[in-house]
Amino acid sequence: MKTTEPTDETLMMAYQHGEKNALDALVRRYADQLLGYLIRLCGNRQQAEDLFQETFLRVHRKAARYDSQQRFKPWLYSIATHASIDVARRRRAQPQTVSLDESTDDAHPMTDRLSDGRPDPAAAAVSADQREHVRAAVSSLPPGQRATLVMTYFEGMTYVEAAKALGCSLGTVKKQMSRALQSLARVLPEPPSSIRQEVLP
Amino acid sequence: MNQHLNNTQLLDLQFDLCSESQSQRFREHLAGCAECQARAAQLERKFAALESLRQPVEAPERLIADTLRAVRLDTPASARHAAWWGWAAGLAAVAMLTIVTVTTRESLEMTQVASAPKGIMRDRTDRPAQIEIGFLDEAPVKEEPVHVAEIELPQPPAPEPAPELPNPMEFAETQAQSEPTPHAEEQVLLAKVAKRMAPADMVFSAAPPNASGAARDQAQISQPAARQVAKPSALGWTVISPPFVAIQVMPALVDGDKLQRKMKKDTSAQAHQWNVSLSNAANETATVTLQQGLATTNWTLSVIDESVTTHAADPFTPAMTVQLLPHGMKMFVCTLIVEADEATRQPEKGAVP
Repeated sequence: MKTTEPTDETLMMAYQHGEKNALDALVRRYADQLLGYLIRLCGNRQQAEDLFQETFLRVHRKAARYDSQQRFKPWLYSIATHASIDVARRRRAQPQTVSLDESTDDAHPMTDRLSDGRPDPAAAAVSADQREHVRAAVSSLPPGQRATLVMTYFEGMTYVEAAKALGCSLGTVKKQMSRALQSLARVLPEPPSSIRQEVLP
Repeated sequence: MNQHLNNTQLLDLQFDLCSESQSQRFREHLAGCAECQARAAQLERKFAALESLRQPVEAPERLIADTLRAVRLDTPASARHAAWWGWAAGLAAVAMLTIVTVTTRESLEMTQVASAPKGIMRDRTDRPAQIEIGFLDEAPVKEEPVHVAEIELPQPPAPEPAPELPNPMEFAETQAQSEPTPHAEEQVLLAKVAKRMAPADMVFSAAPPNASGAARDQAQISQPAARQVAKPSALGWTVISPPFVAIQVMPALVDGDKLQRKMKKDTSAQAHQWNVSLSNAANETATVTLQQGLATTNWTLSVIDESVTTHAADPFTPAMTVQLLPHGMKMFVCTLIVEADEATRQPEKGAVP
C-alpha cells in the first residue's frame, strides 16, 4: 500500500501545532535543494551552510506567523534569500568581476542544447575553471538580480513565485531578471564559434 | 518589423520576459532574419554556461544534524516575545505600582487624618479646617509646607457632657498666664492631670484590631463618646502618659516609609507642650510631643524620636495622627486624641473662661 507523503504545508502546520518532527522532515526534504540554492546565491559553500542553518532557524522562529494558505517553498526561499542579503550587507562583500577578454578552454560546447533547448548533460562536465568563471559572473550581480536569476533559472520557480518570495511585484522581478541577463551577457565568456564545427559530426 | 533585435530583446524573448505582443513581433522578425537568429544562437550558447552551476548538491548529514540541534536549542519565538513582554510588563508594573503606592499613601494618610477625629472631635467652627502637611528631610525641619489640602469637617452631634475630664487647654491657658515657662507648665499639668484622672475616665476610642478601614472609621464615628478603660491594642500602641491622651491605632498599608511629615510649626512663644509616651505590645516605647499654641490653639507634633514621625494635625481639633515605625519595617498610624469637651475647649484665646 502506497503511503502519500505529507505536503510541505501540512508539515508546517503540524510544526505550528507543536509537532517537532515536522520541521525535521522539512529540513531533510529541502536540505539538498536549499543548500544548492544558497551555494549558487552566495557562491561560497561555507557561507551557504551557515545560511542554511540561519534559514531554518528563522523558519522555526517565524513558524507561528506562517500562513497555511501560502506555499511553503516560496516562503522558505524568501527567508533564505533575505538571510543571504542580510549577510551580504553585513559583510559588504566585494563584488567579483570577470574579464571579458579572457579566453575559455571550453572543450564541451553546448551544441546539443541548441538543438532541443533542454539542459545539456555535457554542460555539467565543463571544467572546474569554467564553472568558477561562471560562478564569479553570477556572484558579481547585485543581490536582487542574483536571487531572481537563481530562483527562476536554477530552482525552476515561476516569476510569480519569485515575486512572492522576494516580496516585490511581477514587473520588478522581470526587470531584475532582464538586467541580470544583460549583465551576464557582458560577463559570461563567449562560446568559441569554431568548436561547433569540430564537435558536430 | 524591419529593425534587428538587440541583445536585450533577444534575451527577453528567450527567457519569456516580454509581453505577449512583443513576443509575437520578435518571433515574426526572428523567423525571417538570419542575422538575429545567429546572435540569438550565440547568446543561447553563452548562457548555456550557467548549466555548469547546476551541479547536484548533497547536504551533509552533519549540517542537517547541526541545524536541527540549533533549532531545538533556540528559544521559541513565543518565549522570546513573552520574555520581552514580561520584562516590559514588569517594568511597567513596577513603575505603576510606585506611582499608585505614592498616590495611595498620600490619599490614605490624608483620609486618615481627616476621618479619624470626625466622631470624637467637636468642631464648632463653620470654616473648613486646613491641614497643612509638609515633607521633611531626615534632619532639618522645613518651615514652609509643600502641600496644602482643605478638608470640610462635618458638624458633629451635640457632645455628651464630660464634667470630670481634665481640661488641659484651660489649664495650660491658666498656667501660661501665671508661669510663662512651657516646661514648668507641662510638669504641673501632667502632675495635676495624673492626680485627677482615674484610669476609668480615660477616653479610648480604638476600633477593633481586626477592623477594616471602613469598619474602623465607622466604629470611631458611632462611638464618639464611648468611655472605656484604655488597654494596649494587639496591633499597636497605647498611651503611657499623660492619661488624658487617648490613642487610636490603625495599621497603615505602607511599609518602611521614611517620609516624615510635620504639621505647620507653631511659632507661638507661649506654646505649651506635653510629652506623650506610648508603648506597644512588644514593650517598645516612643515619645511624641504635643504642642499647643495658646493664641491659635494649633496643635503640633514634633519628632523627638526617629521611630515616631509626625503625620498631621488639625489645627482646630485637639487630635493628631502620628506614624510609628517601631522596627523601621511596619508602619502604624496612630491618632492621638486629647479629650476636650465643648465646655473646656476654646479655639480662641479670648474665649477662654
